[in-house]
Amino acid sequence: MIIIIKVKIKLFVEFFKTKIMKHFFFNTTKLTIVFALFGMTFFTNCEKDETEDLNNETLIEKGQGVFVINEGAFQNENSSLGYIDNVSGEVHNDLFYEINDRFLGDVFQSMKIINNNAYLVINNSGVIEITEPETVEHVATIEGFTSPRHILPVDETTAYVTDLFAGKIWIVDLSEHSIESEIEFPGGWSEAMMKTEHGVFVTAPNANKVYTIDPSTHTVTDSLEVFPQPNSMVTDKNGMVWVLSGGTWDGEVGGLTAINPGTFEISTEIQFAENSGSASDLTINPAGNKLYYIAGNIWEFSIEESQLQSEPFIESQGEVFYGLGICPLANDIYATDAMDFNQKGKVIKYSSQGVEIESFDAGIVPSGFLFY
Amino acid sequence: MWLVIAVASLCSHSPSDIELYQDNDTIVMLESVEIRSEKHELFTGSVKRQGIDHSIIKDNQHSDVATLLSTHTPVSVKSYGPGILATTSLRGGSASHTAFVWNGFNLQSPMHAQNDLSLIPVSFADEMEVQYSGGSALWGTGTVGGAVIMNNKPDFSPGIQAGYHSSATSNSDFHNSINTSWSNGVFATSLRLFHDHSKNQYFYINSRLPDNPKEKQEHAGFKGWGLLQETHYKPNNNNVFSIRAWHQQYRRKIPPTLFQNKAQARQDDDFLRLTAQWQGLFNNIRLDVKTGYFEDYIYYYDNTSIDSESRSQKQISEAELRYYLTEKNTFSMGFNHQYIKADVDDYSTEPSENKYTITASWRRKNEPENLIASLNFRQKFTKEYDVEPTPGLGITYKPLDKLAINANVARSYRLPTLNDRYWSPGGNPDLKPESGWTQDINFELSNIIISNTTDNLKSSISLDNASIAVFHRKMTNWISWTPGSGGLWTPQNILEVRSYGAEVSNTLAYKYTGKLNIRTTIFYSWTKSLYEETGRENDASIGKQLVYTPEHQAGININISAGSYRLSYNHRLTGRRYTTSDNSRWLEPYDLADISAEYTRKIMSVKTSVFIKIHNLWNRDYEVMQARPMPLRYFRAGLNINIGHN
Repeated sequence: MIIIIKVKIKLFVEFFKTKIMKHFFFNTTKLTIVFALFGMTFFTNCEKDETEDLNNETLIEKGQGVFVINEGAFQNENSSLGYIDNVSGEVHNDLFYEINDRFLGDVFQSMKIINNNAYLVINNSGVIEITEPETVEHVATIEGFTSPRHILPVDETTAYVTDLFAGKIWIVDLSEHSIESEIEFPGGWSEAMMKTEHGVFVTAPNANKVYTIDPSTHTVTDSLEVFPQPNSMVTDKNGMVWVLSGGTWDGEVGGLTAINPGTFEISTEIQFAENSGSASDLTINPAGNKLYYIAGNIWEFSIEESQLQSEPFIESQGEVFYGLGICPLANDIYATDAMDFNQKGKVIKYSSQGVEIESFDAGIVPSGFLFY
Repeated sequence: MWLVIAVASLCSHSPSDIELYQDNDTIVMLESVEIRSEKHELFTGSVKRQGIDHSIIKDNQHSDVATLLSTHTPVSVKSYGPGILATTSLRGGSASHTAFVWNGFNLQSPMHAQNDLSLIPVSFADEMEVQYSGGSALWGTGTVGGAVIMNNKPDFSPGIQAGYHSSATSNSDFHNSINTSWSNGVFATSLRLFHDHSKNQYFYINSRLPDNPKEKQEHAGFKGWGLLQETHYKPNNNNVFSIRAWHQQYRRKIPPTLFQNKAQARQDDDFLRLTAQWQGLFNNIRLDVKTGYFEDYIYYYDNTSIDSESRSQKQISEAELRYYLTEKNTFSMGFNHQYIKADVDDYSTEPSENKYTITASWRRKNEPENLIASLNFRQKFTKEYDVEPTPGLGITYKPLDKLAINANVARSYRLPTLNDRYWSPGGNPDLKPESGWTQDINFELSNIIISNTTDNLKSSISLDNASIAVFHRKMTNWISWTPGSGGLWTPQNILEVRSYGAEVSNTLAYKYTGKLNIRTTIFYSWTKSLYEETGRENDASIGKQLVYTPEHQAGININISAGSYRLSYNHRLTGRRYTTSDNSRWLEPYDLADISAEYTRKIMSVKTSVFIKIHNLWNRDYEVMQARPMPLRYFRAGLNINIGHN
């Protein structure tokens, strides 16, 4: 039955979508149909479906693929925006340049969709480029940053931007596309951010701390010490905020810390073993119970087991893993191989069990993903 | 038995007359050029060398060595902007594979084995030469692609000489230099000074903005000054003592790249070079003893986070004995000691090292067959690693008087630098030296008269020099910084690179009644330098060209002099340069030309000349390094005043 339903009729699907929104069917057969349709159109589709025809009028359709963040080589100005369309199988590696006819900038650090715009943080150019997410057409540029890393919206019109060298967090006016103010940041380098009930959490790698900022007053209110070099954060299914600390190069070991956002206290602390290398790119699966990170190889950590695994989840066969992402629906794991950091890299797609499915060519130094 | 040998004042390849005091038993007839020639000239006559003509040095007193090399030689110069860092790549090597040798001392930095040749003023040189390949038997570690040689020659002709140069450009660049010297035949002393003050406000095209606007550089100003003092003592024809002191300071603003909108970086470069040397001749033995102390200081700072000081010191002491056994055989033996030390903010420690080297050479000349062979050998001893011996063999065969065929085989190596070993984090003290073998053949024709008419109209066309050279080099254990497991970047001996290519050049001269002189040089060089092994499987860079190493380069220099007027035109083409190791991205080829005109007038013993020069004559918008803006057309005007018999 589901096979019959897999027909390329967009209008029929649209009709059903509106119907379903208004009238919810409890009939199981119809429910199955409904869920099958939902699965194909509403959610991000991470499965390649050759029978479905692509509407070629828009470049990117929401829910069909993943943006690839290609950092580029430092000072070589060769960062680029890539996109892998999981429905058609098309791979684009230099979308910003193709659409806007100019270079994206030097060191494309991160990307976020805010209020239906794509914000591309370009670290060494000191700007954030804003584009339409579906056409990649340039909308505006926010200038004036020193070395921006990540952006997080804190309300409808305001966002925070962390910075590597400035020693402050920038407050950006989203409607004016400009920096409106700054927050002096005691931790120096500000990196990852997470909005919680206790405020905005910000990791400070050089200070080995997580700070909270009250978004209504834009002031730093509290801090918590964690393992050295905290670089990334995710929230699990229980609402706990997990912080990954990478450790330092001269021997201080990193680890995982779980913070209760209601009380701002540490609920779990797990230190890595000596010589485990530098860990980064903390990611969580859609179910919210398994953490993944890169430390040479790709490692898995189950919050239910609370114990580090002794063997890597995906072992490198020579790849230099540099970016990690998990498809929100299909659970596929995406990783990047940065090669020698001075040539085009690769994106490798693994099943949720860690089995390689396929690989794609990417831009120069692919470093992250944004599923869209 | 004494041999008294009269000394020619300048070294050249053509022998000059010698006087000898004869004693019948052992007479060794030596070309005076052999006595006076530096080691590298005598024992490596087969190495391809390109001297930079004295007149070119005189015409470029405002310039720096990097710019001079980029306009007059096929050396690939990577310049980050006018007045800013410039390094060289010779025959497909890296910037640390070109030795920079000043009066016999290899000045490569112990920290990074490179030299910023934009800091070296042309007015401090008497002779400049580029040596291709050559191998490490010549100048030790770091002579892989070749060497840039800069020499000062003492002038014992009695009297005072002085030269003053002053010029200014439309970019608010002001350069002044004075060279003075005095000699009474026994003592000779000279003092050279330069002062450089530039706002460096050049115009460039910002191709990163829509409509490619023309913008003015506001953050590239620099100022620098330097002095070079030499004192020489020649009590008789058998001994010369020389002491030299060279001190220099530069303060530079580093211009932002085209993608940055904040310009904050600055760099201070200071150095001190002190040397003392003695050359003595006894019977048929020549002794060279020299010692030098070299200190370099770099301070880099920008308003964000980097505030970094580095200081390095190098002491070199060397003794060489040359023994002219017979007319056909010459031997040399030498001993060299080097001490290096560095104090760098980013190192994990303050390293210091001692290195000892022994050298030996044998040159054999077979006159009837016009064959000269030289065998050179060098062995370094150092506690830090085992260095393999570096031999080199060169053969020169002259089937005709004006045709020379040279062939060389030599071993090259480059010790890991202090940066590679001690940088924190990541430095790897267990690195091995980079090493390889280099082979080359070159054919050289010289002084061929093509046409010559006498009678009233006397004109001649001659081929002053024509050469074709081919080379090949394979380097292993080439050091590259890579992220290891766990992500820590460390240097490893993982690369293998094969380089090969050819260079062709021609110099033609046309002379008319001694009143018109036209000299044209054309050159073309082809260089392939490919990654053969990178330590990773399925690497798309295998078989690809090294980054920033152009495959094609060509140039033409035309010099026209007629009486008091001189015109010179220079045009250089540089081919595509890749910026990624898989060659997926590159910078477009570009060409750059300049033209200058000069008028000279001599009144009594004062020679004055005024000149104008147009840089980037065709107003090209080009990039030597990605995103680094280069100046559009600009103008220079200046004058030279010379007093004395120079």
